[in-house]
Amino acid sequence: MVELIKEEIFTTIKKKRFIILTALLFIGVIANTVMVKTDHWNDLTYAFEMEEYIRFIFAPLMGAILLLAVHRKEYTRQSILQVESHGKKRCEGVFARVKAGCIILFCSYVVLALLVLLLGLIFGAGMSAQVTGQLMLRILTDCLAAIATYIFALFFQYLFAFPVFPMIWYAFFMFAGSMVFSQIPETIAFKIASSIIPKQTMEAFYTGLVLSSFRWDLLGLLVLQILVPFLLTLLVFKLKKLKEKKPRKKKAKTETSEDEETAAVTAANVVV
Amino acid sequence: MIKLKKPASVILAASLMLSLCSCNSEPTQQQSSGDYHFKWMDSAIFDNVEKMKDVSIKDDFAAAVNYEWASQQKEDFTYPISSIGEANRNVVRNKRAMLDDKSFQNKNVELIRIMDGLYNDVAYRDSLGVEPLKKYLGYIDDIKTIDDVTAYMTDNSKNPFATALVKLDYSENETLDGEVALYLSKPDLTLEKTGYYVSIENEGLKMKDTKEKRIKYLLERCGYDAKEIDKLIKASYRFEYNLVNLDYTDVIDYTSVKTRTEVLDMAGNYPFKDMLDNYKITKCDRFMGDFKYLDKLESIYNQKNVEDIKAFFKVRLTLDSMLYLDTGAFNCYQDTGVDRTDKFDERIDREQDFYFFYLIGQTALTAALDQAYIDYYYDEDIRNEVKDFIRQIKEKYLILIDSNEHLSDASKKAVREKLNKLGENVMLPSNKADFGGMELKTKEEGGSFLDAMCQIKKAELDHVGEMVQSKLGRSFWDIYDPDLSTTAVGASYFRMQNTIYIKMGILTDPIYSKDASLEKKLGSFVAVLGHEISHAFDVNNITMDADGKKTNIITSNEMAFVDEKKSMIWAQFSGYEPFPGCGAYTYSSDVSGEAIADAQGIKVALMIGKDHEGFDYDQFFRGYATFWRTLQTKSAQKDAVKNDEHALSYLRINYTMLQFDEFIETYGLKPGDGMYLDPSQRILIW
Repeated sequence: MVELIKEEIFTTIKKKRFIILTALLFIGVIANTVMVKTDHWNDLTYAFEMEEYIRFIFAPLMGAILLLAVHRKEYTRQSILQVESHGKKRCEGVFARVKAGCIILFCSYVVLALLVLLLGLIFGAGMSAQVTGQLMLRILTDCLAAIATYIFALFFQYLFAFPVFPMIWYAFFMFAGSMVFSQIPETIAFKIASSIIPKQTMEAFYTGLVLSSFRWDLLGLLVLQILVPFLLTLLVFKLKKLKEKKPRKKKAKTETSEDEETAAVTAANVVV
Repeated sequence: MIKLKKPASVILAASLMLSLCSCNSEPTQQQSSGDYHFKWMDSAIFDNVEKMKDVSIKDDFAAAVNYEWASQQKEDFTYPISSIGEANRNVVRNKRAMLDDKSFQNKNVELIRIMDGLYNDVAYRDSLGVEPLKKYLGYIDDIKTIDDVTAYMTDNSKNPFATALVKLDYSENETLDGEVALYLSKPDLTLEKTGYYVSIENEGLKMKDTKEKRIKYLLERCGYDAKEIDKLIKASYRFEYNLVNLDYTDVIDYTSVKTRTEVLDMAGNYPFKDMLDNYKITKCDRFMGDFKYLDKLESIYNQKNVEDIKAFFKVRLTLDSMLYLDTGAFNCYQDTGVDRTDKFDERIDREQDFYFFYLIGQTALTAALDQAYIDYYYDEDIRNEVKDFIRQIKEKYLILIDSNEHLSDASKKAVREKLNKLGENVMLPSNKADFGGMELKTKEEGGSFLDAMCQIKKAELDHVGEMVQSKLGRSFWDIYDPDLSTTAVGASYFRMQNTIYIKMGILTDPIYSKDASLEKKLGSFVAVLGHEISHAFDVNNITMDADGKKTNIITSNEMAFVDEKKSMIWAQFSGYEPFPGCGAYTYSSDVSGEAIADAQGIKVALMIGKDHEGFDYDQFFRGYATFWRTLQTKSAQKDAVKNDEHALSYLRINYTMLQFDEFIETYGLKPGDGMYLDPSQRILIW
């Protein structure tokens, strides 16, 4: 299992598009800090601007980048081949992929938290313990929301084997979804919205923490929001049938893409 | 299909990134000024005063007319720099002159003079320091059991702001019969909006930062150590969070009225009956408001939560007391009031008297002050003149309604009926202030503002009790209502009453003077009258009938022409940014209702003017521009663009002016001039 997770992680983070886009996101953090510094600078402004960057740019794009990076051509087929090549069960393959994605997401948020703290220190934001605490809490709760949303997006990834749908799902529920539903004043609608959108659940959880109230019920809800899509993902992966791949006519190429390399490796493993 | 997947994914990712990146970016001046008539300069900020010199009337009326005035102003915001600010200053000066005139004696003015002594003798207030607050915090410390909590909430001598877990007020019921009912709601909260207790957002965090600084400052001075304060704030937040989460709806429920028995049943072990008895509300049988909250309140009103309730009371008392204590507390209030995340915001200090009368105006004593002001300054001739102008405006509106080509005869009849039944509250509230039994301790007797508040708040809630147990007419103007103070510089239209309120404050120089020319009167306060009356038929209020009940008096098809004008205004304002960094008007900042009302106000004023031979249009239009002249801070303007449903003053002037042929003819405007608007783009609905 560990081997499978490792392989999954390294295959993902070695992708050029993942490296470039993630680097861009972190450069964005630095650029945002410089912009705040040159415009209007104090601890609260820095924390708010950073929070906005995380909410509107980092959170939705990080997941989208990850979904794009874990995508392989003929997604399900190759995932199955990969699992079988390791002599593992399919459900272990799903576990591995979910865990790998969560680890990558979690690590990216840890790097983000460190970078935010470091930049605040370097640029002299003079952040109080309270402001720092609130910002770190925000990053942590956003990270949990991102993980839950990612798992749901993964379900769509397996279902359609096409990264656009999960990316839309992910970006909407990390960005627009939480904003749209937070505007609904009616109790019932709000509760329904909260129960399906991890971002909204975590927003309420964060509010509770900031106001000295720990909400076990919201944490429980988050666990459900993780478990249900995970089980759905498992189901889809398990039910998928491995069809014989029809050879496609290809034009002569001089270069081989990363995806094709991965496919070649997994195919070779099957042969062995 | 397969070939398309990868490019599609990359394109989607890129477009997502681009669209998200653009979310925070504000439109540039160039982008926003695509619509030609927004090429006007922002002549309401000091940065542009010098540039106003070179502007012609044909291109930017507001800037050209008001340049001379603007160039003489200094960046002194003791009062708002505008005609309304000047009128405000004059009202405050009048109030001061009235208090200083010792020949003027009665109970109301005597009470205000006692308050004046307690507040305006700064040396006395400073000598008391935070001692008054310490005394009342001590009463909260004495609470040990839930029964003590009940006793505290019903003992006004220990509870200066009558803090309780259910707030009492009275209000009309919009959807039923328009009668008043006792309105129940959650108490005031540290973060002010209940929404922040569900999703705190940055605005909520900002509020938290401000309020905590104030609490810490005062409690430290009262001898609490940092640990105790921290514990207290956390306990208070926890309790408020639980309160809000009992039922976090923010919307007032105007749809149901319950009886006393039903409400007392709901309250359970919460001592709601004791609260009602304390304010002698024994006969009221009409209650409305946050019933779900009341119903669940008993679940947290228990011994287990006593410490959290005490913390909540302490925090409320501390925050409510801030402005009534000494100079140190006032400075802390002012300093922490500056928005640290707004680079344009800065501390603004008004005149001492401005604050004094403002604070009185926030309490029931506003009735005593207003009554004294009426007794001292009221002029029947002014009221008659205003009433006569209202009559003329109504006549003009009848003409406009009859000539409207979009309405059926039945709709015209309903609109006419609404106009005919329009209530007119001019200068004089319906009742008189009566504080006969109130005895306040003077500074000579060792009194404090907080001591006085104990009695004032009791009087306020006793008055609420009286109101809900009386039969009030549709247009009843309660002199005790701080929101309807007749000495405020303003006018308004109340949709649920179908009534306009023209206050004494707005009939003050330079907005109104008896000797002013007809053109000047029409260009200032008469345009305001027309504006307010037009609200009876604007896009939001046309759904209410002559008695203020919610029934569409015109059909949805007929509404289409109003919606069309509204869209036109949205399209013209949306994306416009007055100065870089201000933030742009968005579709959510809907200024359309007020923009239409402004234009309608001028339309009827012009119709009245036309009836007079030799009417000077130039003087009239200049009068309007003078009336709305304003210079404000960038921060105030930024806030207005985001939150005010009225357009900025220079936009109100220019955008209104270019709606009229008379304006075009007076100044010889032609297409291409900054003040020329194609007639097809006009927004008048009547």
